[in-house]
Amino acid sequence: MRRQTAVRDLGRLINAIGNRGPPVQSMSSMLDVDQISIAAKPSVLASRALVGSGAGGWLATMALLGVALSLLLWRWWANVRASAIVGPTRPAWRRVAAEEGTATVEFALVFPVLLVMILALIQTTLAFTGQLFVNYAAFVAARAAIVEVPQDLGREGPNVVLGGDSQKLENVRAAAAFALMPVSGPGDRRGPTADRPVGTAVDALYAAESLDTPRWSEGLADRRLAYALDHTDVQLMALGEGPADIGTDTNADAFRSGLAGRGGTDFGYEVSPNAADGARYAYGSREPIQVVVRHRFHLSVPFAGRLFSSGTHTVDGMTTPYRLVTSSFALTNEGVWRDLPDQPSVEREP
Amino acid sequence: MRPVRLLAHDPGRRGGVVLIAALLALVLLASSVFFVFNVGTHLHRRIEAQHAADAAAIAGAGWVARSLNLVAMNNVESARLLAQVQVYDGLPSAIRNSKRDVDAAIEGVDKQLARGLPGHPWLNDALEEVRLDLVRQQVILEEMETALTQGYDVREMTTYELPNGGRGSMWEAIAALEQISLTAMREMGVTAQIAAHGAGQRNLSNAGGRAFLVPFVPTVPWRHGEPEDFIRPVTEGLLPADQDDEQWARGPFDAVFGLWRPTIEGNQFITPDYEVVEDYTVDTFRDGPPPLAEGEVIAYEVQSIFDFFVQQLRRAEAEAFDTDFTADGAGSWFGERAADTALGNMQQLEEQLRGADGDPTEVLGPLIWNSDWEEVRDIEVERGLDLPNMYVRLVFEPEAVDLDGDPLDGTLTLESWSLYPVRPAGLLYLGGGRDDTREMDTIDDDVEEVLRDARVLRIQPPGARARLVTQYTYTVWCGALESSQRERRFPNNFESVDDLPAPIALDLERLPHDADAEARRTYLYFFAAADQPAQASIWSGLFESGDAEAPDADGNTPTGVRRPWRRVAATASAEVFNNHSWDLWTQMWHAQLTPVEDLSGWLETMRTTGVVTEDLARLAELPDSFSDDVGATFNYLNRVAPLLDALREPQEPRSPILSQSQP
Repeated sequence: MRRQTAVRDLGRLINAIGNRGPPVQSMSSMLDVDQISIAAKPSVLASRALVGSGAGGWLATMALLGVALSLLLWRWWANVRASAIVGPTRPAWRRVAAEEGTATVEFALVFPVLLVMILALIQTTLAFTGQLFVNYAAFVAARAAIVEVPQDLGREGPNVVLGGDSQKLENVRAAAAFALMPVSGPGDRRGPTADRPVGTAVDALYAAESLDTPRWSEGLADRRLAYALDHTDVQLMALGEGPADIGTDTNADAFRSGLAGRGGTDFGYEVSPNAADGARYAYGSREPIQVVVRHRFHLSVPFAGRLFSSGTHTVDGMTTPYRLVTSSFALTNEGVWRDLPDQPSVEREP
Repeated sequence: MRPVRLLAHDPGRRGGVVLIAALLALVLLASSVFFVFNVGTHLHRRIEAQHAADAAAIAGAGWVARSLNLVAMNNVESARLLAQVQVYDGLPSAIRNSKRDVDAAIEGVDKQLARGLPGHPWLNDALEEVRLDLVRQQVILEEMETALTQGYDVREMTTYELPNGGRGSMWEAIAALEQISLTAMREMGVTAQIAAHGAGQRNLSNAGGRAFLVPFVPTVPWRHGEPEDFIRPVTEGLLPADQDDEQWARGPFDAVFGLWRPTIEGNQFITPDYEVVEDYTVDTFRDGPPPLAEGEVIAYEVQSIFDFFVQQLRRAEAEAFDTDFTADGAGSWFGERAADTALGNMQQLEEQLRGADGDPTEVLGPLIWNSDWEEVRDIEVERGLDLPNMYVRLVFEPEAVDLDGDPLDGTLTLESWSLYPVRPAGLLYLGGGRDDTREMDTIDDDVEEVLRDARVLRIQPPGARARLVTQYTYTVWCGALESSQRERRFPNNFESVDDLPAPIALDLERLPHDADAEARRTYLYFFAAADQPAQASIWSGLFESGDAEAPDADGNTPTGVRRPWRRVAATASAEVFNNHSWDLWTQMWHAQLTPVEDLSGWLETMRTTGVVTEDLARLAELPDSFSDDVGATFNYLNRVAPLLDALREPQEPRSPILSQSQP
């Protein structure tokens, strides 16, 4: 657990470095940033799409690791002794024969352990990367939220977010998912005739540049998007405490006057999606919005993935471990009231 | 073959194997570290690119919004200055005259207090209080007069055409505001692009980063209005007629004048308690010096000291007898008629002083009162004026009751200050008549006689008349203007309005104020793009393939290139809006980021929107590579647009699937 915390903290540190300085009040639809970024570096980790087998636990791994270390120590001690003794104490041929046998046994025992260590190293690297991407996805989602929240979607008016079943929340979630495509899992395989809008567009992009079509566009790109959409959740938070109550959109007054509706210094007020039934919340213009992103990071490396696992789920017909990675980011809402006032009901001339 | 044995025979070679394995492990470990570092750097660059696009969009749109606010401020300030020209112009003489009023009133009260008011102690107290108030006013007026007369001449501020051919400084200020507005509107597009480019660029840490705004040179449809456009704002607090709209363009004045609250919840009617200066009319402005009616005062109204006096006495009376104070004096000894009479007489006097048939641009000044009867008479006779108008009388005719409420027998005469001509009531009300129009000449002897001892409070004995009323004659103004100095005091002395400054207006034909969505999208929505190189920072040979980002000049793809683009790009969009009134008089123009919509539309704009030569020259402040950079980014965005569309498929809301507990 400490190691997981360390991984997360390092990710946060890197994220913090990356986000040094006050964030520009941003936005663009999620659709812009991320998709462009994705296209810029399609599937950074596409080649890591290994699916770990379901066998073994981390205890077994640690046991193997212990055996390997013992062997290495014993071997080192034997070498020290051999070099320290002057003259053969045994016939040379017997010593050689013994060492040959030992080497064979060593090789047989150490190789899988070394393999596991290497795999663990790879999985560690990927876990770091996953944390970085989830942190990035939190930024992207917050960036999307501050421009999505002010939209007027009819059922959700300007700056209003429904406590559940919110289209704005879904748009923010999609933004986070797009950002996570490069570290997304492989998704469920589909038939060869299935639509692959992302892959088709990627093909066109590469063709326009006279480049060979990448293999991952054949199906993996779309499946990664599907995985990311399936395994990413977001929460919209506001300053304050507790879940959103029913009818809390009355701080629209505060919103119109440009003041944040609630006090507090912690983002403890959950606006969506786990608010009370029918709850709604109206963010103030320039009110801080925090977005929490949770993602089931696909642990792709065999055996070693178990080291980081916080659960298993079924992907593409196989039970695979995943790690729940969380990150959050806060930006200030745009959302200045932009409509003209209602026509006054009084005459102009007194 | 026993390769293992060969190795095992030589401890030194076994050490080599360990070394190689160690090196390989080191390489693997280093690769992992570098990989994570590179990913972190890459994501940092993505965030930078987004910040750059945001900064460019908000800087460009913000510049447009601020320009519009600047123009709105200048328009309003120009109208304010135009109104203030009239007020400032009248201020010195208004203050001077008010001060003389106050001086005279104090003198009169002092004399009255010296004589005392037997039988009416409350009136004595009231006069004491009035005197205190008068002294306070005197102090303030003295300071104002000092400020307005020492150091500079107000006329140099207010007069359009000065005698030396120059412009009054307030008129110069209005013209300067107009020039600032014109410059702001003409340069707005170019400066918006420069601001956007600079703001975006500063967010990109990689050399070769670029950021820009679309349209390249934003324009907001506008036109230079007419000088007459100032008339309605100045005189009515409304926008020029062609800009005015009760729904969409009500202007800022409703908030200023309190007609409507500026909040959207508001719309409550607030009783307007302001007064429009009626004498300043549209004609006053448009047609230059108007033919003034008798007694008409331009731009300001004289607040008579009488009015103040009467109000104070009414208040004192209400306190003394525990009755309700009413501003109009209903039921008071000092009733409405008294005040009206006072004001009427006051204005009549002013009129005399101006000269009813004089040039309205000429007024006499300064107003120096001479209360010496002999001198006054000589002056007035010389000017051919009617002597009876040399004085002003106040007649209060309240219920004739005493303090106990019983009918009061006698005439109360309260004389204030003047030597000439104090006219006791009894003199003018012989036979109970109300006619006081007798010429002074005919009563000269009476006046002469009465003057010597009339400055006392006299309650005539009961039974003097069949039906006695309490008659209160209060004389303050008495005397005539001694000075014959004349000056031109009309500030709007322009020949025609053609050369006057004019406000800037939105071109409502192209940008109609009925919230036309397409017009807004055309002129008030902005798009920004930013991108920068994103190659791996460490060991790029291992993590990247190929060195070029595009086919070479011959169209050949360099060997090993596997990616179509080696930069990270981001886009943003911003809108400009006014959430109070759709005009260039209301400083409520805002800019804020919005979701990027219609990317292909923006690409089409980039493709088709040219930059006119004139703007191009001014855009030369931007780097030489600007247009090439824009072209490269455009090409990339153009090619990636289908991918964005594919990813843009809207998703249906779904329930959360993950545990909400913090890991």
